[in-house]
Amino acid sequence: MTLEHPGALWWLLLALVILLLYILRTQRRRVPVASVRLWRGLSEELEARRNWRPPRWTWLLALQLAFVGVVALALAGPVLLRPPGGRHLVVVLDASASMGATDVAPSRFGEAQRLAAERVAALTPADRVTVIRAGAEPRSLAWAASAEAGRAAIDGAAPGDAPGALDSALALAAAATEEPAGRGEIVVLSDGAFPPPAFPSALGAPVEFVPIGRGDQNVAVAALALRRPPNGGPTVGYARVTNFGRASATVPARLTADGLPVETRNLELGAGASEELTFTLPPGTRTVALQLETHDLLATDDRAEARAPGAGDRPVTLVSAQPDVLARALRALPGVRVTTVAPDDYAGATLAPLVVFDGFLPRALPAADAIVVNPPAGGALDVRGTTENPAGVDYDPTNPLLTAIDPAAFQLGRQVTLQPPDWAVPVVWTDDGPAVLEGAVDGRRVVVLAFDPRASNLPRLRAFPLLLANALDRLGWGDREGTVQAGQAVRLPPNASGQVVNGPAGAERVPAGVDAYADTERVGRYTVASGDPKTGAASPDAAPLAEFRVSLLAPAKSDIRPRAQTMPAPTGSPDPRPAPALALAGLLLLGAVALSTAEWWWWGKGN
Amino acid sequence: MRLPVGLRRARDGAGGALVTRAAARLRPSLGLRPAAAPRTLVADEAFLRRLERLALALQRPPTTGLAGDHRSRRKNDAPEFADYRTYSPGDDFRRIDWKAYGRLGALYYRLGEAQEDLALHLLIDTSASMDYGTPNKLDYARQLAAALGYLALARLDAVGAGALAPRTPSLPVLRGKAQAGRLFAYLDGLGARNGSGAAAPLLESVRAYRRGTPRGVAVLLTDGFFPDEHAAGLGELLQAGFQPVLLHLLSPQELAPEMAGDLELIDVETGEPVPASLSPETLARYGERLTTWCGEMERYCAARRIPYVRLSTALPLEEAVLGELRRRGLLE
Repeated sequence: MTLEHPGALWWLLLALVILLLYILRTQRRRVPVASVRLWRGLSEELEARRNWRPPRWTWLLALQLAFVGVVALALAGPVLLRPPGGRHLVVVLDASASMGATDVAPSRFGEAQRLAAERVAALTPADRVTVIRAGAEPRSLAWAASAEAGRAAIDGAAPGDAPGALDSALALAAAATEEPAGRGEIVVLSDGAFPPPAFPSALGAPVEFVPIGRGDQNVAVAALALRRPPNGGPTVGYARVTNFGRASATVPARLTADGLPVETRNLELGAGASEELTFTLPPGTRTVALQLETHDLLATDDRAEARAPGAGDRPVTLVSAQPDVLARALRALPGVRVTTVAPDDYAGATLAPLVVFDGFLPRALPAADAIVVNPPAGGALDVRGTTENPAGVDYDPTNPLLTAIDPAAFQLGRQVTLQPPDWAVPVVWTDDGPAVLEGAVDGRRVVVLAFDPRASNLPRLRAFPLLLANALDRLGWGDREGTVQAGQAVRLPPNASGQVVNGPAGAERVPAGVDAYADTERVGRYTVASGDPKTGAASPDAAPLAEFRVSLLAPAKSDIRPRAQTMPAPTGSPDPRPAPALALAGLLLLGAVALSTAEWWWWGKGN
Repeated sequence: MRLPVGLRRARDGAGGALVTRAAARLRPSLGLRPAAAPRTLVADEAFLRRLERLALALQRPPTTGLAGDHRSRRKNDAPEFADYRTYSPGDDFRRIDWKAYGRLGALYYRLGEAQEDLALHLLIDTSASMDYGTPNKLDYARQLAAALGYLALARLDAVGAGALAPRTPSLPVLRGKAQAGRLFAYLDGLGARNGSGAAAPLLESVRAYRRGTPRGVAVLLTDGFFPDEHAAGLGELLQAGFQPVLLHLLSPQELAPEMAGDLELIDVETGEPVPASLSPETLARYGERLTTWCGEMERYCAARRIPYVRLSTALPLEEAVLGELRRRGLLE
């Protein structure tokens, strides 16, 4: 038995109060008798004259003490515990990319499933099992469940293409052993292809590492990057191919652009050697893929894909009465196509996914990302006025919006004084308030430049287009370009009504307001489409809002040599914690009511 | 129903306004507390008739030398006629007054034969401790004394009465049922001496009473709570030629107290406080001490052939007189 609120036992002190009332004498009642001759000296004189006396044991006192004891015990919340007798097996399945290696049939992950199933099959009905899938994010597939449920969870598990987070998985396993389900033991089924993990400091159960795999033959695309020169020249690419095996390999590498072959090279790679490739993409190339024609043990890293920077249109709607300065700066950015709209025509205009408001701001922000420049009063922002030549420029140097920019050189000229909204954080500010802010509201991202660029020195500074380029990146455009590493979160386009992400594992709905997508565990192509506001499903004829490519590009996972990992010894108590079986508070309170009734009955009898 | 003259007067005096008027006259001179309301000591006529059939039965009854209902070893030199009483089976039917039978239709026995009367002295403890208990001990003592006195008067015995308290006038010796009213009035006027301090020693009270008083049977009606030892007073009576009889009266509250808890017991005579924590164990010890105390008194009396009867005031008066005292051989 254990107590849920042991502090309530302090109420037992009331029993001392009751005893004190019985010990202390109140004023004696004077009773006349015919003669005190026979009474004199009958009680011990000292005892009779003292102001206290030993408590006389009566049924009333016993009932009162029992009542206090029972109520205090009930308040303490006693719980009868189920005697621990079983085991609590915590299975950690490594679901990282290297577990897809086929050096054991059908794969390392399949072998891990088989071994795990064997362990679970050996459990008794009194035992419990927890199954944790150690993918990009650890996830429990069964929690202190029966052997049957654990077996089903193991069979239903699937490997991933991303690096695994074994540290987090072990922390989750340690938490599982804290469950009062039996004597805990952790089994890690893995190839050990990960850096030595930082184990939780206190593992309350022994950890057994079961190594899986025996081969190391693997040639992988370890890196793939595309860059568009600032001068507008053709996009160039860089790739690195590494042989992680102990044997030399000759691997044909085939480069395609938008699905069309561009170049094929035969790479002679010694054991552990790498080959770096550079290439120039044809103009207008949107996607690039590097495919290694090999049949090594791990196929996931034999291919890498990337989207060219500025691939496709970057449509921007500029709402401004004097659009010259901003339009010129925006058009200088790669892929940006600017459509100018006069403020008077804003109400009926078709807006791009990114709207730049210059000297104009409607009362409600549109369902699009926005860059607000020099906002006037009466719009969606609480503008209080303007300040000429503000002083005391300060800024947050860690904010990505200021990458490669020195705001100390800013001469703002005329700053808009506004009350910062609660969804925005200041990035640059002066003595008169924030000058640059950023934030997200209702699934859209907003950058505010609270000054008039025409009255500042920014148009003459190189920092101005950089600031706009950084703003576009902060709005998520850059996230979806190039290549996305498996398991990495990607910013989504403005999501005011819900979206659907189609990837190699199928379609997944993203609720409205969620601006990032993290389930990128499988390599391949992902597209983002608007979802139906009512059903949430993607409209069949809707054009994709965005697209991104996910590749492994993780040398640590491509190095598939099996490695034994030393597991930490248990530092916690090996004693299993029994499971709560029956709360006794209710029964005790019923007993207290019965005692109280008996007390009243006893009192009513004249005792 | 028409009663003989003596009995009729006794009845009128005992049960009617005579007792109250006499008591009213006597109370101021006795220095006793006034009665709160007129009280009747013995009012049950049937009980009075049953009393008339009883007589004191003591082994060595000291006599006064005057005629009475107790047979004398001397020749009959008493007046021929003294009084009537109702006929009882066993009486000499030659002394039945047939004339009265002819007039009244009932048998009456003519008293006057040479008989010695028995001087009966009723000594009532009027200390404050007697004014205690339910039923009240003093009330019970007065009723019991009235019954015994009437019984003796009906047998033509001499009856005297007094209070076991100094400076309290005693009742001169009375004879004949006609004097029952005076006896009752005297008894009715006796009250507890509340607020007079400690009770008088028994020896002092006995000495004060026996001066000039004829010897006889001295019935002490008391609860026994004297400041001195009872032996001294009883011994004084024996030395003076009296036959003491001790009627030890205790109330139910003394025989089986129902008190509990922390109390301060106050002596009604002395005002002495005694703190006591009464538990069942304490009450048991009190009971043992009471038994011991009564036993000592009884053993003392038995050793000196002094009749001793302990009575609870919870016992009805008729049962005490007609039952307990007869069983103990004090009455026949």
